[in-house]
Amino acid sequence: MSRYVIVTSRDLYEYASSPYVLELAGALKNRGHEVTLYLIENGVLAARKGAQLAARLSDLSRAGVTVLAEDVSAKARGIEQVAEGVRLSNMDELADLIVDGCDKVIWY
Amino acid sequence: MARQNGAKSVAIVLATGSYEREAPTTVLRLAEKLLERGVNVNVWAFEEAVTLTNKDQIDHSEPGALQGILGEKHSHVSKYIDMLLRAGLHGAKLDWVSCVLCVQERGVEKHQMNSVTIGTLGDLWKFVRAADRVITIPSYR
Amino acid sequence: MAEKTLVIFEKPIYLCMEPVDPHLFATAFGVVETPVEVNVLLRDSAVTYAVERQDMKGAKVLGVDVQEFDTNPARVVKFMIENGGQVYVVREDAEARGIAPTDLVPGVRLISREETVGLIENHDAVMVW
Repeated sequence: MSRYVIVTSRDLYEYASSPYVLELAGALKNRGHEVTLYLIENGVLAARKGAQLAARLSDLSRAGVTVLAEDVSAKARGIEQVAEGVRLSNMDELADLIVDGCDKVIWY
Repeated sequence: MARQNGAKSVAIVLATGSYEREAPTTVLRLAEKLLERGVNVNVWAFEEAVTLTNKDQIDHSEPGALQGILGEKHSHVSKYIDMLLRAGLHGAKLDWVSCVLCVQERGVEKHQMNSVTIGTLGDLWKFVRAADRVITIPSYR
Repeated sequence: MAEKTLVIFEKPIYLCMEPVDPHLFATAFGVVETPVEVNVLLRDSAVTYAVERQDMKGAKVLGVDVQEFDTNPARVVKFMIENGGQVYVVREDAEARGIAPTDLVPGVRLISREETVGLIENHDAVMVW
């Protein structure tokens, strides 16, 4: 078992790789790994409550993936409420995850 | 080799400049938090990222017609890099390396901040090998 | 003569060490300081530029604000509207991102994706940033 942090700084609405990134998080979890999907920069746009892609994030959360959205990125974009299963986080938590809470970081 | 717990060094590979990308801002915000945790940070700046450490950047005035919504002037990214490099003097170390090929093709080799090292592709892979965690920020478009 | 220009934003840029996306303030300059009629279409994820209550003050390095002046894209959108620029937002793109009409800056005009075609027909030049 390994611990993965998948950071998504890209806008999931914009990139053709987005379905793969979300599938990857789910697939690693299914294989018994610990997975955090960390949304930052334009990555947080998918986490706004009511967004179409937010349902996919809620699904991943229900499947056991920890889904976090960085607070500064969210506030900058006027996001006040995040989707079910997504928790607001901050740069301290991301640093803690990188230093003590994971084996690999994959940054999209 | 990646360690199971408690990273002591993080390599960050960055290839984008500032002023139309958020990635360098994020790297600086993250580097601060890593240094605060006693983690050594090696930034390897590639392609447009070598312009981040151009020492000739200055605060510039905004157009008069827009000062009401933009302010009178704004700062530049090298100020924040310099602050972090100085922070590294008294704790965990920050190394900032600009790729030699990239500074030469952009004509900014002689414009690099004094505390920045001009490095090679070999340095990139030495950083990667020595790091407990490797973070590569993807280039956009 | 491109006397009437439509400027299209698709990809939002935040916290890039400029007070706002430089393309946005270049467009605002066109609205307020030049004889060209400049109108703006926000589509794809750039619809977020018209969302109220955007706040950049949390971004700091060693306690120093990354963005020294308190501004944001919505403020520039308001400024453009106040100075005679029309700002259009694609309804479907806002909805897909969970953005309700009540979240938007007053004065922006919600249009359908289909209506953007007429907008492009009615301008002399189209710029996509």
